[in-house]
Amino acid sequence: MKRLTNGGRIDRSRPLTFTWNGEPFTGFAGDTLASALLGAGVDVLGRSVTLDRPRGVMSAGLEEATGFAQVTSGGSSEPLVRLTGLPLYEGLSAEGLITRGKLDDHGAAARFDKRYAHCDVLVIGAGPAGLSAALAATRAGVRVILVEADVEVGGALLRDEETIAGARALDWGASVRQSLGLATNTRVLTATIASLLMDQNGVLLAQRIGAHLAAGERGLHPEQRLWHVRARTIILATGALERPIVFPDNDRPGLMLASAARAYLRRQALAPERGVIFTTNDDAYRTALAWHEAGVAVAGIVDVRPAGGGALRQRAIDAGLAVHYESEVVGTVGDERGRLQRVLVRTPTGTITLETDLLAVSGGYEPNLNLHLQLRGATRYDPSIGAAVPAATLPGQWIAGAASGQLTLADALRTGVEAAHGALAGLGRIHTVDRDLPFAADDESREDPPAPSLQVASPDGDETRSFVDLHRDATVAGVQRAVQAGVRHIEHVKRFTLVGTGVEQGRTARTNAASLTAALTGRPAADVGTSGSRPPYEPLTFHLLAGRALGERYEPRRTTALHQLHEANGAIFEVAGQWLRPSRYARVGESPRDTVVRECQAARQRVAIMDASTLGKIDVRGPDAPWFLDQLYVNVISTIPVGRARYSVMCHVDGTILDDGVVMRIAEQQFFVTTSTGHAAAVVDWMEEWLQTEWPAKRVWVTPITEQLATIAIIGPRSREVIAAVAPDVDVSRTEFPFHSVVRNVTAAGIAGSQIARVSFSGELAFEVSVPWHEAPTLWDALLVAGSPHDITPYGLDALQALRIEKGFIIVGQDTEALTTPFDVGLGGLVSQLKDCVGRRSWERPANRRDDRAQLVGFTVVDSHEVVPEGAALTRALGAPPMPIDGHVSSSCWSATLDRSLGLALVRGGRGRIGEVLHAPLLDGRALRVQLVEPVHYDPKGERRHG
Amino acid sequence: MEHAFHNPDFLWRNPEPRASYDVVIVGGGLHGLSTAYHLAKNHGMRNVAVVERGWLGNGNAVRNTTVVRSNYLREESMPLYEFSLQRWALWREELDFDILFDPRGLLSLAHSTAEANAMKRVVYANRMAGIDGEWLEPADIADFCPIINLSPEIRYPVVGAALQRRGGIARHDAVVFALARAADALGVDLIQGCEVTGFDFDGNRVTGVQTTRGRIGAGKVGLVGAGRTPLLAGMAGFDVPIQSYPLQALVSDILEPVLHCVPMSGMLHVYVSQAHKGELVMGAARDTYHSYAQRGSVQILEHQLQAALELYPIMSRARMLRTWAGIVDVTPTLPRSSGARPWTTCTSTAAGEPGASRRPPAPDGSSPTPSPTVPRTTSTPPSPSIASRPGC
Ligand SMILES: Cc1cc2nc3c(=O)[nH]c(=O)nc-3n(C[C@H](O)[C@H](O)[C@H](O)COP(=O)(O)OP(=O)(O)OC[C@H]3O[C@@H](n4cnc5c(N)ncnc54)[C@H](O)[C@@H]3O)c2cc1C
Repeated sequence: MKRLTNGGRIDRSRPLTFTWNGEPFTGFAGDTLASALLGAGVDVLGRSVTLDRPRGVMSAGLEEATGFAQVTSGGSSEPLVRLTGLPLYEGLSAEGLITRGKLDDHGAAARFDKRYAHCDVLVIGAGPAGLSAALAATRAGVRVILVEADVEVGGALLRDEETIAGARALDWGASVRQSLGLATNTRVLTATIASLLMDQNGVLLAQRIGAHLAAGERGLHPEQRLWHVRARTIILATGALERPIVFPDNDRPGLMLASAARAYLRRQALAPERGVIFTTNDDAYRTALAWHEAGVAVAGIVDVRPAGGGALRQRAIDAGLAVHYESEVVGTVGDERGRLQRVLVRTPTGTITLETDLLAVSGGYEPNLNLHLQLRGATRYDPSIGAAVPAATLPGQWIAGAASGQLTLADALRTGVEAAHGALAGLGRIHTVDRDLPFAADDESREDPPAPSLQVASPDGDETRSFVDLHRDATVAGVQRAVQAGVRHIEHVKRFTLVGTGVEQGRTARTNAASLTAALTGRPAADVGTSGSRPPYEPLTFHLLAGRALGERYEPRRTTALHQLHEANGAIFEVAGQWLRPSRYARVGESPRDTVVRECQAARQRVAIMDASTLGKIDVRGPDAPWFLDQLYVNVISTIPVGRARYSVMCHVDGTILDDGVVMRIAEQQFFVTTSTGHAAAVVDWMEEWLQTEWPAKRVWVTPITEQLATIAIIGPRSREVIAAVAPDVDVSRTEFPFHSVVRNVTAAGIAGSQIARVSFSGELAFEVSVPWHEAPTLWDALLVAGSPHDITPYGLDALQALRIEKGFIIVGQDTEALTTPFDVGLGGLVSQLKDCVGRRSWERPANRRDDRAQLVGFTVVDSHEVVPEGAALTRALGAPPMPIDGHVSSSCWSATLDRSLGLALVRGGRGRIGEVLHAPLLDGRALRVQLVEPVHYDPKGERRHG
Repeated sequence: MEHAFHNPDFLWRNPEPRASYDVVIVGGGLHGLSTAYHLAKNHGMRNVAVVERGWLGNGNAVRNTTVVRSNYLREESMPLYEFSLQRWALWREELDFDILFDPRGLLSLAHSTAEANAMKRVVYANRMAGIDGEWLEPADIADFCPIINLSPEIRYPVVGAALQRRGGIARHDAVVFALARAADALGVDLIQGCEVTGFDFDGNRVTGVQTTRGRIGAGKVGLVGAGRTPLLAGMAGFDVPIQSYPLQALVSDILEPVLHCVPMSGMLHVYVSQAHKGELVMGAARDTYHSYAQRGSVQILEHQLQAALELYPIMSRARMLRTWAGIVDVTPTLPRSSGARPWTTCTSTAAGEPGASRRPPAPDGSSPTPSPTVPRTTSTPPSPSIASRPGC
């Protein structure tokens, strides 16, 4: 194509340089990359995916099937950008490609933002229908968002020269745009694509901002912004797409949709030397007339229909254009680079050849219903336009303009306003009828009816060059093969031929594929339908969907109030869900095992201290709280005296363990519930679920307070002395403060409102002091000072593991599995026989009572000090696989206290197998031998916890 | 240029349903087609029909993320998955169809010690059963899959990974075509556009199905209508302890190769492979709400892409070309008992003879689904393949 010296909407005073495949070119502000390339005479953009044929731009908008590029001038190279949607900017650099993009490593730093918005009316598409709908809704004072994919509003008005209300259509569009811009209740988003429709009128919009700007102008703009819009009503004014015609060699550079050829003329002043039109309808005559008026030679109009009386056709005749009725293009001829040189036309009087560098093709228009189809909106086949039109709208939605199947400008203006009024009525707004709405379209030339969608048979019978889907290189021959293979359903045609599987979802291919299938299988087109539409409408950049929630913002990193102290203390941290917890406090020169041994020895022999703040803490209170906790825990909670605590377990409805913890009674109607770190949120959810769904009338209030209170555990034979030193007002003597006691509102380390409890997860005499979160460092320091005579030692998760494994205490999720019941891990004794609880019923199932279930046992490693890896499988019969699996090691450690390697395991029928020796094959091919023992390795009588 | 698929010249007849069949299989998905094929091939039963409400494969068969593996935890099910995995390798030849089965290695990433231990447990168990499994330290991971971000600075650094080298992907459309063609060639009638709307009984025995294309008599009926199992069971008058949830997937544009294995992260909820054609195929957690609508919630996609970008920064500018959901049938206990999270559940339902299942389910079995009465081969494709997560 060539650039005309006058006309168009480009700014000739602002030339822009860009690079295509490494070569520099110039275009103008107002160009897209597609138009700039066409203007620069670059018409072969790349080669097709499987057949390696030259391809060029075939549209000026969303229909584009071949014009894609890898844009390399952004922060990171962006694959498969649609050339027809990319405004030219200074310094733009791109490489032609058709279907296969490239990724690079530079993208991670880019900015992609999100916004959330609500509105009363969301209008999608700013052609004449969308503009009039948005204007009507704006005038009614409701909140409106108008979205347009193009960089400017106008839609079809940008390529057509009709008049509206006496004004040029374009000027009308500009004035509406201006009124919308002035209205405070309306937001207009251009370069924005409504891509994904959700239930209840949720829509994802992708707005390109920085991605459309030259490097120097990007500033702090995000590349793109993702809008989550929730709209009370939606008006789909997404227009119609033009359909190509299938005929031999219909894929050359130099073939283009007729509407696109007109758009390039009106918007970017691009025209061929000599154009030819091939059409099934009157609209393409507008292109011929536009060319003619611009002084461009029209070599002929090939019209498949007989002559008729429509006004457009008459104008073409009057202008002296050569119209070939009842004729078809049956082939094209290209130059050595594949660019169009001439077309072969079969006319009623014989085949003729027309020299041309641009064949503008129109196979008719069809509603652009992708969003409607994403939610499986109903359609019906409309034979008058040979395509699917909406049969009904989705709740809260209206469809206006060409998207509804009504293709004239007058219809668009009218249905736009009607849709707005419908939406306003739906919102309960009584609209005042605007006198000037709907606008009148002045040019209502009568058009002749179009011919149905067209596939021209190849004269030589070779259908391998007649393309149905240019993007995927799918041909008529492929569809024929599919049908011969027995394929009938259009979705199978798609999967057999790959029609419609490309970037553009086969927007311009699907109806042709369906009507071909219909013809080949002898069915009416209505029966074949078209393949469904999966979201999104245009591809959404991964990074756009991810937004900024990456790295540190991916998920909160939770640390306790003592984190800095731990760091200063040489702590090595471990990931525990969102938390970071010290696993050990390494000293210079120590091996990991040394450290753990030192920390354990402190706990067993003197005193050790741990930050237990991550344990879940829940305040449960209310008149029905005792009853409520009785329902959720397997033992009786309601009989715990005030000031005392009980260890317990809660189960799922199927009787399997959900979590364990200590429940403390603070007051008659108030409990302090602790959970394991990993289940803190799940237990709150669980409680709320029961309260909200099963027992809404019960008066119970559940408040998670994990991050309100910091908790420090002080364990070991000397712990009582340390506690007594920091809390002199509290009598923590053995008699006054027995195991499982709790006091609230005492002063510890000078901190009023502290809580002290006697609980133990190590088997030692142990206390837990809880204080307001921010007071934790004060308490920690005071405890270290008070404990210094006893060489108080901070310990981490590794030592905690060893201590609790020695005692046979389980960690839910590590020593239990999805199907583990309390009975399987030796906690059957907790279960109250006096009351019901969640999960109880399921214990009656015989499968839950079998004695070959996986049961908790202890083990010691025979003849070795090696620690068995956790997760290792256990077998009675070591040999070549398959070996029977008798169980697995759930917890394992080196026990400094007992000077051996030991652990806990879940073993089939394990309770009855104490004493048995099993093998644990290792990954390196060796195997260790383990002997099954009782789970409690240390202090089986539990005397040490009393100090 | 792209790899061109070679679809065969002939796939299937499109027969009218006969008045009756020895066996009617309800559901033309992977399990239905596989069952029909194996009934015909292994058991000589040729008077078999598969009735499908839409088009063959329209359910989860063409919605899945094509991962094939056998690294499951449970001793009871491992041989089934392993048998199945071995069958995948043979299918190309047996079905004479290029299903593009590609054992390129399945990498389950661990992000914490606890998760690593849980994954190692699977490796240990697999090896006991003779199934391959390896443990990779971060340095080995860098060699095996260079695009993974192994930086200790990311929010959840990768601490190790379990690898099953024989796991991989296949082309799901081709699997449907291949099984259907093979079943059709053995005389199985594949009847599409035929929805089962009810069942006929003679006393306690099923005698036929009512369909949108008329009544079809049946000696036995197999139900493999994944995603709609509760509806079908309801029509037959029995309950199944199944809840149906959307499970979403997405694909990117077609891209130059960047990924040559199938890494999954259970903790970050994302797994991804790059198909032969070049698109990245990604899956994540299932939706949390019950639904029969084959679509899910976008926040799951957003979260999954955050995870993807954490782990694979190179994917920043890849684009989501399509997304969709299938409906998976989940039993409340089965997924937990198989060591996987609920969202990993297989959608297959045992083909139950309604007559038999009308009796209350035996309370002693740990399997909550009715037991199969159609002789069920063990060669059905494995269920979805998502890494398990430690329960702590
Ligand atoms: C998003 C997603 C990702 C997945 N990823 C993987 C993966 O990576 N690896 C893997 O191994 N598995 C994966 N799966 C699971 C896998 O797809 C299923 O296990 C498999 O498709 C199940 O086969 P099926 O035959 O049981 O069900 P389907 O393939 O769903 O077939 C069921 C059929 O029954 C039909 N039907 C239902 N009701 C009726 C009726 N009343 N009358 C007639 N017909 C009826 C349906 O139309 C459907 O065609 C995934 C699933 C989903 C949804």
